[in-house]
Amino acid sequence: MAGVTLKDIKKVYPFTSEDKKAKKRKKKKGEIEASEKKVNLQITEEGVVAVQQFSLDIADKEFIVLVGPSGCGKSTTLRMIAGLEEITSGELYIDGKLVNDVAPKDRDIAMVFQSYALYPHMTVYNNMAFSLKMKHVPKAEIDKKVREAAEILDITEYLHRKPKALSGGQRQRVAIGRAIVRNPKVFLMDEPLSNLDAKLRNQMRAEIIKLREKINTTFIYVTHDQTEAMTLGDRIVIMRDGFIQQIGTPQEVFNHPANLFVAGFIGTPQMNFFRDAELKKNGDTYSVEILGKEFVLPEDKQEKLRANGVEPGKVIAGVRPVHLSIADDGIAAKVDVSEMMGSELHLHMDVNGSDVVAVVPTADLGDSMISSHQDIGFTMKPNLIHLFDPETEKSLL
Amino acid sequence: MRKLKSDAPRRRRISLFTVINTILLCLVAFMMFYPFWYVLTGSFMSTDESVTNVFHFVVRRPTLDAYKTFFSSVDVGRHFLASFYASVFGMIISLICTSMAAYALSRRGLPGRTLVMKIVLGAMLFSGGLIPIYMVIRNLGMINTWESLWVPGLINLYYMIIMRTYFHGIPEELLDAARIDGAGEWRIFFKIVLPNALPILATIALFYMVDRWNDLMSGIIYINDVNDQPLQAMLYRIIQNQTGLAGSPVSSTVGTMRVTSETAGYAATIITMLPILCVYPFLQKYFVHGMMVGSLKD
Repeated sequence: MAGVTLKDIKKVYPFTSEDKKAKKRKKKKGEIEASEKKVNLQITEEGVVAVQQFSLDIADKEFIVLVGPSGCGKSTTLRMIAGLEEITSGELYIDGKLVNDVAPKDRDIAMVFQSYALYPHMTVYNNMAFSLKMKHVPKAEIDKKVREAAEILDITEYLHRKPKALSGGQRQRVAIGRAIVRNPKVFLMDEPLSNLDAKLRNQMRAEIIKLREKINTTFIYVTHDQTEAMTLGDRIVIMRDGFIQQIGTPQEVFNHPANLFVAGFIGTPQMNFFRDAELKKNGDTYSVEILGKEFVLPEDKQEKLRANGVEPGKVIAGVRPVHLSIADDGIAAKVDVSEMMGSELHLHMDVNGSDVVAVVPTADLGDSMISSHQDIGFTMKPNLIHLFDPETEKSLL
Repeated sequence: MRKLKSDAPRRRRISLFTVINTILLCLVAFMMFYPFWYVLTGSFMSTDESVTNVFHFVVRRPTLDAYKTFFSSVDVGRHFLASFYASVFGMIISLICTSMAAYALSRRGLPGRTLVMKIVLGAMLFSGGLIPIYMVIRNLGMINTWESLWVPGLINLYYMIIMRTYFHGIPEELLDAARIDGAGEWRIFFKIVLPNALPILATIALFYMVDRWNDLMSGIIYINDVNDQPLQAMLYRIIQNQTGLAGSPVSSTVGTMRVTSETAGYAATIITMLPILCVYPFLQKYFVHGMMVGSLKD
């Protein structure tokens, strides 16, 4: 069990000779700028930058989740911690020891892969015992550890089967079992649930939470699914284009997103953004005008705006769909689509040509349902409004 | 109840294309099979019958005379040993070397991989040629040794590329998992990569075995002592004798063969084919799978 520290980690994939030739060809044709804009990664003279300025302190026994869209560098970061990718610059410490040049097998880590990466020619037992055999652990001890892990994961009856004879969920348990028999200092998981169907994913998510309570070690978990991130992590690291966007507890990133990207990425359905909102100041009092309605901000937000010296003017206002409520005297809207989700109703509304989504608990509606093409009004609580700078996209609060 | 028209069993219409196709395939199959059948039945004929019954399908009076004559006149054991050594021992060494080269070239991290592949492709298109290879073998002191039967073709580059394609399909995550589990590169190769590449190993093993077993030229060029030559070279000399080339230096080796009919030649052909025919059924399932490498998504 140990903490992990990453100090200003950077990963650059140097250009291969083919890349250089392709670049020259494109440069001749004048296509270079267009093609570079298509990908999220930064292309520099050194090569393709996958991760940069990555600094993070992970405490012992902490469950940290790296989350972000495809190509944001989260898996690369995890692979660097595992020792499967070289670190271009920066320092990586596991349990206080610098491990930049330490081989994966000597880092005392275990990793669960997205594709399970089970050895297809070995039985479940041998898959789980492989790492212990490599360490020349006595046979009796291997047997004890494998059976204990199998017991925890409820896979004892499959020990003599080969991976191809198992279902997706069972394979994932074996992959986790293979990692826990080693009793590692750090447990790395690279999108372990993304190959499972929705039902099994929910079930396995709960099992990972239980497993964490049982084995109580440091977990670093990579996912692109923000629900997984929110439910599993003690802290969440949100990444984009190789940079950390925000580090915080699930509540922090949900309630106080650091920028527009985090605000949009965390939360389902996505936060509504009102790009033509205007921040006003009457004496010492800030208010925000959204779609023609003025909302006076609560005192805590006033203080933050004053402390940050925010000047009135155009801002981007953000409100989560769950924080919108139906009000007859509110902002007028026309329901485009009404989606009945059981306990809640998702309303996709058209407000002066822009799309706004509201989530309304069906219990609040009683017998009167809101159907598509219906004209309604909605409002929002001023304390749940987020404000962002239109230029830097950073939170103003 | 009246039966609906659509419920009636449909008569399957056979198209003209299917008919012509079937006939053509039958003809091709016959053309493939008949030479084997001709030699097999011929090997059980007496000398007289083989002279009178030139174009034959069946044997009227089967006899083992041809086999008896063949075994009594030729030291098959020594020739067989030469072929066996080249085919089995040579195949094992070739398989190890080919798979190691293919694995290394299949991994993205290998520096200079593209250059090596270009050299490999160049060597496939422009080989050294017979005389330079002969000189190399001579300078290595391998003339008149059985090693000369397999060392010149130790790694068949075409087979290496097929294997490399297969190794490409082994997920990198599997190897990463083994690295984290504590396996070194050699252990990964022997414990993870090779056991997961059995179909292609079996296919390439069969290719190497058949190539070496059927290799006539190496035996004739590199081995001067006729008693040390492999089976195919022996078979070649027997056929030479039948076709009036008895004056060649080989005639003494297979002296008694001259007086027998060509049936002894057929018997010799069958004997040389037998080992491969015995091995093939066991490797066939891997062989078919290996031939499909990369053609379909798993």
